[in-house]
Amino acid sequence: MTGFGVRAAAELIFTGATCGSLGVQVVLRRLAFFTETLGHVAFLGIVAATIVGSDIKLGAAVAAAGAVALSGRGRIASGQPGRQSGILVSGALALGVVLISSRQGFSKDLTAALVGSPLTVTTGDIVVAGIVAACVVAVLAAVHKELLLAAFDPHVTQAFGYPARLIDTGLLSLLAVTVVTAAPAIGATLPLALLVGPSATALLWTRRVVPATVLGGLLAAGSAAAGLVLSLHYRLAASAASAILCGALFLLTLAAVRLGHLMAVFTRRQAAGPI
Amino acid sequence: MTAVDRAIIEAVVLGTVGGLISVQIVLRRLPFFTLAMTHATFPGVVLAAIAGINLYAGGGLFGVLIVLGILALSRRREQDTTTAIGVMLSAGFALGVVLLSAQSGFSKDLSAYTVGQIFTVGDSDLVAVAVVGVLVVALLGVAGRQLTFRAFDPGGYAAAGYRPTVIDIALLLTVEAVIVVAVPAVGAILAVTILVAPAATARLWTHRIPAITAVAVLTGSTGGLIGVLVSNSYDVAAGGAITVVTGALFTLSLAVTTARRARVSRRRSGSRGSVPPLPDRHRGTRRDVPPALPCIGHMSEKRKLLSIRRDR
Repeated sequence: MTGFGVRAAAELIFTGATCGSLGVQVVLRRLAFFTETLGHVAFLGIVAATIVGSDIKLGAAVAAAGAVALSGRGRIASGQPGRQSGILVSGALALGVVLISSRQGFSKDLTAALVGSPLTVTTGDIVVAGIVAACVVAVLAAVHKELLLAAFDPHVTQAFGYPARLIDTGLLSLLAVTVVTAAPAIGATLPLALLVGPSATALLWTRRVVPATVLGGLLAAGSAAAGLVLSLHYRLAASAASAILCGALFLLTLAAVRLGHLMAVFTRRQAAGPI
Repeated sequence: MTAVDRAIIEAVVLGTVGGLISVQIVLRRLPFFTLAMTHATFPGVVLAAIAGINLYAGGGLFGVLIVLGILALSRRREQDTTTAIGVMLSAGFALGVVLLSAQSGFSKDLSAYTVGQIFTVGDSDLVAVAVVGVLVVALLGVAGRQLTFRAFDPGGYAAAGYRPTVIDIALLLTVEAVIVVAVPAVGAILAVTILVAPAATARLWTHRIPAITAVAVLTGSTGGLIGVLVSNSYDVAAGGAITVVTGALFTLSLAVTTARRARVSRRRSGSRGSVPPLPDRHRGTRRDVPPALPCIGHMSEKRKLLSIRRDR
């Protein structure tokens, strides 16, 4: 593997580990739709930064911070996506497309912003991804108990005197940072796959949160690395290949779990015999 | 007929059709589901293009498969619907990208399928949109009353002897048909706007369904018309322009109606300005809003009753 391959592998593994471990919180709180919104808003930021000529992560960060500020106050954590976020999700994307189309030969930029290009990441990107991965893991470990309580019972969290709103906003901000960090490698539309797929798979394997978090991180990093290998061998888009592996992992596990349920019911019936 | 004429006709007819069906999407709270359907249609369109078969047939078939997949995933209660939809959404989009990337020089094709190219639509595209329009009008004409009944009172609907699954599948297939004909015009990932924004805008202005439908149709067609004109004059992507204008109509309506409501409530609390208004405890539980549905076709009412009994 050459230099760019090693860089891409490092970036994708860091991103995968971050997304997979944080993803358990996304699944527990049903934030999939909010994550998609964040990605699309970050896309608008990336496009704006590309046009102005500044760092794309800066643009994405500003946009995502705006999205968190807008939606964090609302009932985002309740998991019921409203019409406003439905409009925001597509409106931000559309505005980004309009902006980017004002440039000559825009389809290359559009592709990079939508699905990322892991093979062109810089050393700076990798350093940032590593720092963010360390921070996310540290935060998850430090406030694990509070996060868990707030995810399952917001009222009790408040009654115990924890700053429930601060916890919610903190989690959403962490999510925004993760999506923005992932943007150069896997673009604006694919972080959702790495965030939700491996962690939902892990939660099918185990119902305990700490093992699921570790497993989610490992699965996501593994899928990302495998996606890169596939892409180098078969000349596919690396980020999209990783995302598909994450989705396939979930679907296969789900099918296996269903089959296991069916088998259990069947054998129980056989054991009970005719009544 | 020039390309601009065709684009204008396509955008206006599509806006009208989208406006009609969007009423049902908003009543049933299906924006996220619709988003997943658009993303899931994308790999189908790509596959059809690579295989050289009809885009509409390929995209539609694949979309129907994915819809059935999501429905199957969300039937069990232990599996959260949001997660299932999220996984299908992103994996579907990624599949489309991977398929395209297997071709060389893919970024141009990618932008054509994701954000559309309305200025290259042909007569057959116009015919397809018109046919789907007739389909939507037929569905709303034959089953509009039942769809509304189902949206507002799922329990009563099943108790009255109707079959929820049948009408749900009919609705989803119609939505899928609209998505498929929208792909050449506004692309797969922007189609969700013309399927949600018109009725969401109308819902801000009025609560009555015939009025909502009328305003939604007006919003959709106006957004399409202005979008094409803007795109033609300022040389920006047409699909993006159409969706931005439609989204802007929603944002504008939201601002105006919010300001109006604030003014009315200030006038009501009126002269005794020092007394703050009581907290509105019943926000979101107004009678004209249908109950939140976990997912369309989530579980038949009979099965739900059975599973509750089993839990006890």
